Amino acid sequence: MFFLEKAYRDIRRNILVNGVSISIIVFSLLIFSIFLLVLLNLNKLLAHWEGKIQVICYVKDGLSPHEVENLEKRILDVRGVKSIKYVSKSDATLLFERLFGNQKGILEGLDLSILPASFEIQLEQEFYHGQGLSQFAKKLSQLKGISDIQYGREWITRLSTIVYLLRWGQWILGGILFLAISFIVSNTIKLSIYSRKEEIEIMRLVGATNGHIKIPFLIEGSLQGVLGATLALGLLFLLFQSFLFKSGPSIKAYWGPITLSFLSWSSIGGVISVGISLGVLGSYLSLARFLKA
Amino acid sequence: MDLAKMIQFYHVSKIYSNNIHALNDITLRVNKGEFVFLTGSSGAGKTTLLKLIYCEERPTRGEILVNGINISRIKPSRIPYLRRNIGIVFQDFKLLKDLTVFQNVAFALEVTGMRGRELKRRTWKTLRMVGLLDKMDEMPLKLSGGEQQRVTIARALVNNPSILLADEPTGNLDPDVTLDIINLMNNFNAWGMTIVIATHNTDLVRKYSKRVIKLDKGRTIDQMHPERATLIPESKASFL
Ligand SMILES: Nc1ncnc2c1ncn2[C@@H]1O[C@H](COP(=O)(O)OP(=O)(O)OP(=O)(O)O)[C@@H](O)[C@H]1O
Ligand SMILES: [Mg+2]
Repeated sequence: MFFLEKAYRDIRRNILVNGVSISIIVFSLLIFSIFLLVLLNLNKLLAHWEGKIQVICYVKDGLSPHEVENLEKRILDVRGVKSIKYVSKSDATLLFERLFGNQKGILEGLDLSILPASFEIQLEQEFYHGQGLSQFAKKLSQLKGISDIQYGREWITRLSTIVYLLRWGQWILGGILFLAISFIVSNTIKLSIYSRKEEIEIMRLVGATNGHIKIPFLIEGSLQGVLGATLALGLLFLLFQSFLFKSGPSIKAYWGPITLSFLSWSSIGGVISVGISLGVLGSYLSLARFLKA
Repeated sequence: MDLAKMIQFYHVSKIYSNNIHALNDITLRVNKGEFVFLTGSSGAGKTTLLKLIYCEERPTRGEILVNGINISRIKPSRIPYLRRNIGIVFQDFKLLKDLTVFQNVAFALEVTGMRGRELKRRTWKTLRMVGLLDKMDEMPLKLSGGEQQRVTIARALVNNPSILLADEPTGNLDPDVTLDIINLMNNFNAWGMTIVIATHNTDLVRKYSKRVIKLDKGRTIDQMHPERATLIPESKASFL
């Protein structure tokens, strides 16, 4: 097809200018996708931590199985309970032993029967904040048969603040970042089109229709966008792999069972579409200046 | 003599946005196959007049007809098709430095959608007419000024326009090269092309007995016809 061929020829002819604008697109989109990647994993981490939010209430010693069952029913009736798990005295002993594994020697002589039975309660998400939790705990404490209630209040408050900030901040930061790269990329493209002002002028003089002038530039813009986005994602992937390779073990130590993940296919598609739209829109808007006659 | 009209101006004025009155109530006519010099001192409005013909500027008042079409009311989307019928040559050539001579000329055909063998044939033919067939693979900057201007003439003519407009085409050229270029245009004129050359080179104008349209501060002060130009000295002509 003529226009594709022409776009290819034009990119080669203007290799320097195109090289510069593609590099700038790569750089901008790299920053943008690093942001997406960090966000993705941070969200994953927070979701994991949120899943760990639970309230433990210890059951008084000496309750009969029937009384325990009743207590469980009454706990389930309290607003905000998502699920509940009973940990009996013997479960607790087993857990304790497993925790110390091969250092069982330490436990010798200890009377593990002092470990109380307990309920582990998962909450609905809307109670994941300091106030919600303390209200919930207060209601629980009014129930008979409970000796103690435990939850990491400060820790949860802090986590919920972070989650809240992130949920909103990601859009604001992402928006600002997006505007910044749109600005940079469209200006880069504007420069590359300005560098061919003379060619456009001649095209107009010899009777090229606006469409004929625009199409090659739009194709060029979208090629720049695709190329820029692909290179940016490729670079991001390399960076990601080398980061995993270098810091993988220490992350495992800190974060436990969470694995870092790369951008999903839909995010990859998103970055490429952003690249294309920036390329096409940038070219289109810069051309509009030359073509209104 | 064939007096079919090619370019007509009826009471045309052009006021630029900065309120400069570049042209004032111009009425003139150029016939098919005529060769006309457009003269006048710097700022007289020569370039503006040419720009109105190829629709780079639109008239503030008045009507302009080119080849029977009223271009003062033409839709912007029709302008490219009008321009394919008008060849335009400038003082500063406006060649693309990174394309060969051949590609520069073929450029004007590509734009019209022409491809392949027909494009090559037409480009070769036009390059032969301006005497540059043997330089078609050179880059423009390797050519002399006169040769570069021939390339732009070839580019202007490759679409077989009926009008050739030239704005100070020899402004950057030596006197003998200047004559070569004007003679070349004269040849095309002999084949029926309408030609308008804007210049303030009065020596040049005097050498050819062509009609002269003289502008002064945006008004036509004089329209000499060749037969009268040879009879009336320029100094007196302005009183007529
Ligand atoms: N695009 C423009 N905007 C505003 N004023 C303009 C524009 N183009 C030309 N002019 C003004 O219009 C007047 C006529 O200019 P024009 O270029 O037509 O003169 P000219 O006869 O071609 O001069 P020269 O011999 O120097 O080329 C001048 O006063 C000029 O400053
Ligand atoms: Mg001028």
